[in-house]
Amino acid sequence: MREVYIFLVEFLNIYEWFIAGYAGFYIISYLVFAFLSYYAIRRYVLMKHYINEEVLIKSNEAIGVSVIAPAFNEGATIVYNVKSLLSLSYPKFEVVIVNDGSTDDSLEKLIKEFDLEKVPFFYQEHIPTAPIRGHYKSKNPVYSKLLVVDKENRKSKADASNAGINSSKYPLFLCTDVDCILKPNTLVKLVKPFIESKTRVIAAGAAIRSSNSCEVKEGFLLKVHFPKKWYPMFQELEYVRAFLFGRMAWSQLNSLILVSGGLGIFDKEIAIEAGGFMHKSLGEDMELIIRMRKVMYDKKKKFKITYIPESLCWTEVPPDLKILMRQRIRWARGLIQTLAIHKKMFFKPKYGRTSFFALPYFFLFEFLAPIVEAVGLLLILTSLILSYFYVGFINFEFLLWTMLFVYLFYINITIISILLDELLYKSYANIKEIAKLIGMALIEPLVYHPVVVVAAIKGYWQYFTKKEAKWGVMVRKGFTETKK
Amino acid sequence: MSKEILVGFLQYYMVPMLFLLLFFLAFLLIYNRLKYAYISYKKRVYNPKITEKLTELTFMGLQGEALKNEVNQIKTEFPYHKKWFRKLLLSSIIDLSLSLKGDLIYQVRDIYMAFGLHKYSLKLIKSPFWYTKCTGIYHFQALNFVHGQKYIKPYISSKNEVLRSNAFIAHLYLTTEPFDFLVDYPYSISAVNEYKVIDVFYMKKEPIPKNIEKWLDAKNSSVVILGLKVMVFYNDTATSDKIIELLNHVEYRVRQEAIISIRDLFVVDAEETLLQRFDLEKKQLKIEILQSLAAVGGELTVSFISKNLERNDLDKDLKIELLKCLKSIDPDYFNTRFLMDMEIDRMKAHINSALI
Repeated sequence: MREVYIFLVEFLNIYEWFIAGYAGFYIISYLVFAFLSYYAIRRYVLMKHYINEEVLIKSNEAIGVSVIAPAFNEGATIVYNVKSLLSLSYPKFEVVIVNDGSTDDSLEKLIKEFDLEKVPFFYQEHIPTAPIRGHYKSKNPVYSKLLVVDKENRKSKADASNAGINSSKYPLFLCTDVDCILKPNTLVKLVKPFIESKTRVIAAGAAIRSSNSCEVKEGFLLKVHFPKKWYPMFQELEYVRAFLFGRMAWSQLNSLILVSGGLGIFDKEIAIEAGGFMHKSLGEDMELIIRMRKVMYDKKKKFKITYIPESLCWTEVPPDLKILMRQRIRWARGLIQTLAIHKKMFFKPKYGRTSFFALPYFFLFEFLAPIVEAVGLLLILTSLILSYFYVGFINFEFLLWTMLFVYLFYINITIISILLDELLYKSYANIKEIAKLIGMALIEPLVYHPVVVVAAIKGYWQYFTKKEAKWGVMVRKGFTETKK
Repeated sequence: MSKEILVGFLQYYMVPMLFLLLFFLAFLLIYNRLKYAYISYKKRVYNPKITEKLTELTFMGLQGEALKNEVNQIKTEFPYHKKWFRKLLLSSIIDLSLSLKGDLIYQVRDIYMAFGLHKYSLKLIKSPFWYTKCTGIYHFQALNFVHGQKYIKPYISSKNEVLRSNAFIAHLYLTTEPFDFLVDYPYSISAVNEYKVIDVFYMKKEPIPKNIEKWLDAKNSSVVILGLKVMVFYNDTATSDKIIELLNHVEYRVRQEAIISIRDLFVVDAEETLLQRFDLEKKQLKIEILQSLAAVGGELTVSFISKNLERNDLDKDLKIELLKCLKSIDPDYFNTRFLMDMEIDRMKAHINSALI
């Protein structure tokens, strides 16, 4: 027994150094990211001087954009949401709604509201999809920008998005969810990187926020509010941190491998060449970006994937623990699945910084972090139990101070993200909401973060045990009345 | 490093430092919001008053001393000494100028000068930071401050791309010279600048440059592209031969712009050259060529399309574009031929649909 104990202590000594290195590297990378994201945001803000958006909106030569929004059983909100998408300010765009075999009255509502008629659309399957039942266009010229694609359900958003891509007519396509509320100038903002950059931009994204407590009327955002419920509140914090801190830094390094499926604009030619969204993927947005990068590396062409720090999209985030767990389990499975699919890209000089930097980072700090955290908690628990028998192996003073350090570091990062957002965009309604945000940031690591870790571990478990993947249904509350 | 040292380091340095940082950030966050709320309140109060005063002042048409006296009166009525107020006033003056047409914009410019705000804009232009310079340049541009041109001109050759672009556009806005000088522009004109230059033509209603023909001969291909865009903007067909020649230009973008110009200007003589170029170009330009042929094509094109539609290896995007082109040139031929091909039949149905 004593040998086992000695072995355990020896092992823990080595493990401790591993964790020290791991955490140290993590913290340093966050500090580097802080500078990079600050630089990227500053550059973005200064570039507003380059071209006045009015000039773009007035232009006859704007690049055309197809806005693609898959819809599955979105009957509660679909009409308002489509109207909201149709009201975007941009000179050349179409809205492609893909009814993904809804079992509710989504299609009937669209037909009735927009005066739709089935048209003999010549559908080219650039990317293979489930069978298409038909294409619909409006008889009312007011809605001439709307195209509705009705297809059979194949249990994946990726397949619906691909049908939208196949049916789209413009060289850029913007992917969003039909329940997302976009800012009226979203397209102008997202197209700007494509015309401003000398290097070919193949994708761009922008920040997403929670619409759960926002004032929304008939699909239009009236006023942004910090969510009122606990889980959406924490997710809002998470979003601010992820978009303003993480993705801006990755964008600055031109190493982004994730453009959110809720709001991303893509070069259609490259997306089709990459094979479109992967039907069986649970993280299809990340997976597509990696494949698009691969296409460009294979062609030896320079390219850029950029992020803009502005919040352009508001979406209903999971309102309770059950739906949140389901979403995060799916994300975790999507992450590991994507890393597994592209494992051959790791450390291949041909794939540049994606192979030496982005993918290893995602493996070490996105995939591995929840496991490291779970093992840490397990060891603390074991030691606590063993302490009862006077054979505990953890120095609790050391643990306390390191945990306090990590906790404070984490909160500071979150508060810096909120501060950046405040300095730039003043997204929230009043001082009360700001105070609330600070309060939430203080308890987030203790209350919310463990939930995310558990969901990730569960997701990995389901991946390795090959449990059948399901998208699940997110019940929309709908915005039929102004929410206050 | 032993654990004791590390604990000491964390306990006495890192943790207290992070605590302090946290308090500082939280304070900054709250202070920033309070300041914003205060300024927003002031803006809400003063904005309508400023707008009212400025509109009144604009339509009064005062000049010289009378205008100065009126402006001084306003300065005493409002907190003019506050920086936020001066910024608010300036932005209201710019908004007013942009919303007006005709000679009234010169009256707004005189008000801007009477307030002495042009000195503030000049101060911005003289700042060491390029982005502050851009703001000052924009003030001069938006307010038609022609006297400020000499301060902008040095930045037309700036190494900073954004500053150079903004100075160049502001110079175009403010110059009284015809735009003929653009033919010698030495820099590459980015896509962003193309949008901006065309906007200047649109906003200033500038006559077409007399030397536009020479633009198409320029060594700088950006000038050639701009020349083509300007010709389309003015519907100028005088140099159609040169446009046709440009179909054989070495640069892809020039060829693309020439194809589009042929379509927009209805250069019928370009049919033969367009057909010759078709097989030499990539898919995207082939589609552009077919769209232009739809506008300018004739019998030659019809026979070319007929031959191409019989090919088995034809890309579907091109096939549908060929059919669209055919329908545009000879609808009868389109309706009566290729009846046995199911795919063409489906494409025809797509093209014939009035709603797609």
